[in-house]
Amino acid sequence: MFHRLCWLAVLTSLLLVISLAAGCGSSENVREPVKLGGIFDITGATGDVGKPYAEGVQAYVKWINENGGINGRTVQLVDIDYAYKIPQAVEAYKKLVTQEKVPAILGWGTGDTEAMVPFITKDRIPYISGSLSENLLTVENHPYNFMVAASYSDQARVLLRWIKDNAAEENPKVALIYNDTGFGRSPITDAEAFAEKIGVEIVDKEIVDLKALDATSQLLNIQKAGADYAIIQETSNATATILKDAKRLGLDIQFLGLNWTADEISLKLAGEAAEGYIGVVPFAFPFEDVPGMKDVREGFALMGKKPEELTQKHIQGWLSAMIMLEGYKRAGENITGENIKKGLETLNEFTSGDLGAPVSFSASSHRGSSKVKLYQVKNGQWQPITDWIGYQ
Amino acid sequence: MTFFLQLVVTGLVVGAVYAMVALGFVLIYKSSDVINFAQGELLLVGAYTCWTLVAVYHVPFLLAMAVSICVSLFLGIAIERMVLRSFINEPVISVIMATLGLSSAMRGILQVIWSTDTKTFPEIFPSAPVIIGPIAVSRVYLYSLFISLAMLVIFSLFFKYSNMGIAMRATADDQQAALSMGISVKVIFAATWAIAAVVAGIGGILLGNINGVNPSLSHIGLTVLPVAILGGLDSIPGAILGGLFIGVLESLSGGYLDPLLGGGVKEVAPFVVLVLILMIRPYGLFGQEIIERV
Repeated sequence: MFHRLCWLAVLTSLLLVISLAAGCGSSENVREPVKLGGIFDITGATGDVGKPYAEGVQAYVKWINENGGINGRTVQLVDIDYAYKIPQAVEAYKKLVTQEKVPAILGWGTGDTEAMVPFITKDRIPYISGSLSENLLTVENHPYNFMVAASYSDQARVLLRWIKDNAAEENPKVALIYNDTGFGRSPITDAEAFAEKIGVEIVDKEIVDLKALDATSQLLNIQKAGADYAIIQETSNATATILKDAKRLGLDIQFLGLNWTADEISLKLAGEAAEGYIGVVPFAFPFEDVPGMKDVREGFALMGKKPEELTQKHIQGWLSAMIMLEGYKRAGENITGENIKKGLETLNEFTSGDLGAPVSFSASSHRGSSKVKLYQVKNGQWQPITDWIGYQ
Repeated sequence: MTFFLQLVVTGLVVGAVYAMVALGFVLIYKSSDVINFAQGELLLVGAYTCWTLVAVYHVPFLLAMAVSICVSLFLGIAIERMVLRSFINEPVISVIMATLGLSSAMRGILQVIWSTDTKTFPEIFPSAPVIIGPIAVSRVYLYSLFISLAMLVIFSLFFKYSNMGIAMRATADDQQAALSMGISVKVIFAATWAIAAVVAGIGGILLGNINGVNPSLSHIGLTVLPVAILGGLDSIPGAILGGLFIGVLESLSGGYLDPLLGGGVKEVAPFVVLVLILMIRPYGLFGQEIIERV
């Protein structure tokens, strides 16, 4: 017993000495790092796309620290995995704001971002989320939410406009396919209103569950309704199910989808059935040689990731971090939530080297952009068919 | 008419997948009165093992499937040895709680090994559908229909005629009596879990070929629990027919009720019918009717 106590004492004193020494070393003439909060889904229901998003943020922070940091200060990313559970997200938020005292946060899902709105408004924490829900864009009610790409509603509007401009018919017939969640329903009403305005007929609306194994009944109903086009608001898995079932049933319908339907996973899952599919792409694919991609590859090399391991979600995370930290840069010496907000609001046609559409914020609008690129699957590859286009 | 037939056939083949997964619940319940909440994770083990062999090591699919089945088999035995052995003669509810814990632990380990991104199988089943008259069915679903029907036959015979099957039923009925009759409950549990893990593994492999493999695949394990309850938790034909029934019901209500009621009925209809059926037959369609009168 006595021996054990002795050992314990020796160990504790050693630890104390080590930590003291470490403390001494780091306090010499080094400016305090700035903190950035992250609430990510790494192990939850959307972890398949949440993890690369989080890695994109981590890679950008690493890269900027290698390249001089923000106004000469290093950035310290404090990120928490909330496993796509809203209560855990709120808990993570409290920890980040009260204990870690982060001035701004990068978040993830639609539901948790909306649940966070009262807190971030009260605490004045600028918040960029992976969610592109139009609801977050009313500046009066969401003064601290910023959106770095076109909202789901804007994406749907662009698709409707594209259909109208490219269809042979005067009033093209379109069906909407979505899932019955906040994320899925988000663009539907706006899409219907816009369709009516520009003379596109919405002939059918169908709900396909995010985890559906089959969409036959919905697709047959779309066929019955006489749709020539169908717009999909789902995630990769359900998109692949829809495209495969449509091919099996031999439907003559052009499918188009919003950003979460148009990525590497839906392409791989759907295989041949994806041929000809058109998707909204607000963030560049890693295989594209746009100017901003050089830094991206460098950043991920620091994380030990090869270019071929990257997905479009990595780019989304990278870009979100880049824009938030641009706000830090413009906030100057005194980095507080309010100053970051003011900094972000001075962004005017901020280009990220074509990783996304040019972003502008102002005191009256946090809609970073309403422009997207459309891509089509040709020979098993996503290929751009437009430049950055809007719906005006 | 084509519309109706296409809906029914699609419902049948999708139902076959539900049936496969529900079978895993029923097998464990039938031989130990336990509802296994780790069923979804057992699905994942089969799916991930097979994916790794096929996509990373380029093993031919059938061989990979055989190896995955062996892995599932040993996993089932390992679970019995490490987790369940200490629960022999303990209340059933304790075992059920243990399966909940097992589920979280397994999910954690699986995520550490395979991460959370979606793994996609290379194309194994030709994507061209099978055309029967006016109806198109995808091959992978057709195979699952055959496999689940084959399992229906195999396991029905197994529980009815084989010594092991009879011993399993005896153990489920009364563990103490089974022990005193000289049945080795350890062996029975190990065999049960091994079989359930194999069935789940096969289900996982088929599902993985339909929609890729990621941790959310395990949720399907739980969503088919109503299928098992509908058929009667202790009935193998119940699980299979329950699965087919729910599949067809979903498909038909999707086809005919969705347009009338504005969508989303497809997901709800089975549960409404489930409640109605359970009101009339509380032990499920084919479940054993146990009534104790006082």
